Amino acid sequence: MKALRFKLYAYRNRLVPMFVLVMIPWLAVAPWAPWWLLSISVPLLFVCAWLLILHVLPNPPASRRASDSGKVSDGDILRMRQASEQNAQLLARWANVTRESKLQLEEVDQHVTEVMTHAESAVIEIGKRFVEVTRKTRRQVELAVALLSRAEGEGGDSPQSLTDYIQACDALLKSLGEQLLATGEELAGLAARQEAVREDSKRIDGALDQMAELASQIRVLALDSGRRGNADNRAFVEMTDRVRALSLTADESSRAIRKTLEDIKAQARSTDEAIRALATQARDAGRRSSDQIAELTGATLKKSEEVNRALSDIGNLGSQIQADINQIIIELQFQDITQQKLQRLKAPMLTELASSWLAMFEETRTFNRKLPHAEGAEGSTGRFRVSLKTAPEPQKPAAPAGTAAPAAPQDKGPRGDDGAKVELF
Amino acid sequence: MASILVVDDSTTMRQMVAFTLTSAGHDVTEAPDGNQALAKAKGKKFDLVITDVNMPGMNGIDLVQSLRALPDCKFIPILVLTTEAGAELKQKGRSAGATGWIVKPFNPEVLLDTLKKVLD
Repeated sequence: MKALRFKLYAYRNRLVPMFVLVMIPWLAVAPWAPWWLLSISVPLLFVCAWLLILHVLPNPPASRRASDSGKVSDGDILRMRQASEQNAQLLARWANVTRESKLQLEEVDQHVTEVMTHAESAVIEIGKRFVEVTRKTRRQVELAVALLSRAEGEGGDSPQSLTDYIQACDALLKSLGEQLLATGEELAGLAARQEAVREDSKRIDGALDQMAELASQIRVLALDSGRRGNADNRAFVEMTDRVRALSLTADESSRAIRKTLEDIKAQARSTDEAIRALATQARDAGRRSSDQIAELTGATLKKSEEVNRALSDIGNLGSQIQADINQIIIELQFQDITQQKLQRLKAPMLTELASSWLAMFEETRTFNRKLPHAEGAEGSTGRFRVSLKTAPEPQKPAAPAGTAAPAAPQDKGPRGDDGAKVELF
Repeated sequence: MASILVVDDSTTMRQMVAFTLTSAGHDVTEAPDGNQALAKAKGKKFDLVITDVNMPGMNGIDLVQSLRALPDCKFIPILVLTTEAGAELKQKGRSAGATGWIVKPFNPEVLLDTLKKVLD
């Protein structure tokens, strides 16, 4: 209806003569035609007029519009308007290609965004894991160092570290050694005293021998005095002198023996005291050593438990570090997988896009050449000029309309379902 | 300790696998594609092969088939380590002679456990 109205408006000045011309044949035959033929022909007349105007009459030349460029002639404007249908088709194809390109670009953008998101999260995760690994390693070192060093703020004489306990044990053993040396010296003194007692015993043996000799001589003198009792007094006097001398000798011997016995008693008492003192000393030293060893053993056992706990903590931290490293490896794989996915996506998608645009470029250029005003010099008026100087040469024919973009690699997306990760056939 | 051939076109992935295996005491040889892997398999006897699927030149499935044709590789375990998880491709790998299928990204512990299973 818009076209009909446009033509009626355009031919408004010629409508009456045209109507007259159409009516002349009808008017010429009307007086002889029957009434029913006239009643049929009147509406047919209007139908014919409608068909004539709509399909037979050429499009009226358009007048210049306010938006038309002054540099373009009326003829060009007319030709351009005649080419509106081709323009519409071209623009429709442009719209289709643009829509498809937009979809492809959106897909690329979606994948790039996805890759960037994964890469970012992977980097963050890797960073966190490295921090965790560093923290746990430092904790391990601290635990290991604590085993060998005194804890700060826990001063005092009590040993805190394994080294302190080892040093305390060493000092205790040294003290025990010194005490044993002293005991040995004491025992050497006792041995010297025993030697003196042995010497005194020898002297007593000598004195006893002398006394036995004296007793023997006295017995002989008694027998001799009995035999010579009646001989003379002189001999008796001699005998008496000898008995007195023997008596004196026996007296001296008995004094010597008494003195020796006194010495022996004194030495025995002294030795006994020394032995008692040594025994007491050894008992005290043993008790002290036993107490110290018991205390040290208890503390060492306690420290050993701490060492066990520390070693267990170190082992647990080692396991956690291994898990962190495993996680880092997984995150690095995510990085690599997404990078590969992007690389596989990039080439076909962009090639397809470039091919589509090149096809449109060729079509537009061809269409532009067909325009009469172009006169073989493409784009002289610049109306349909398309600049694609930097585009590469098309490597393959343009994809037909509606061809879908190359499918993205059918990889399992990063962080996707982990089901059936490993399958042994 | 096993002698293992790792085939992957991604250097990062290859090094990740190599790092995991060498940490466990295995001897690792790397190859960036199927052709080089095949050449290395002809020159040395391996206890196990781990290969990707999507590689330039010869892909992983073809590599498995080619390896199975070698006398030294006829009975060794061959694991496919790939991002592909489709049942059809798995079936192709199985038909080609693959021993197992591991989907990337792999967990190092799981990979080592799988290796232990197939090597035992």
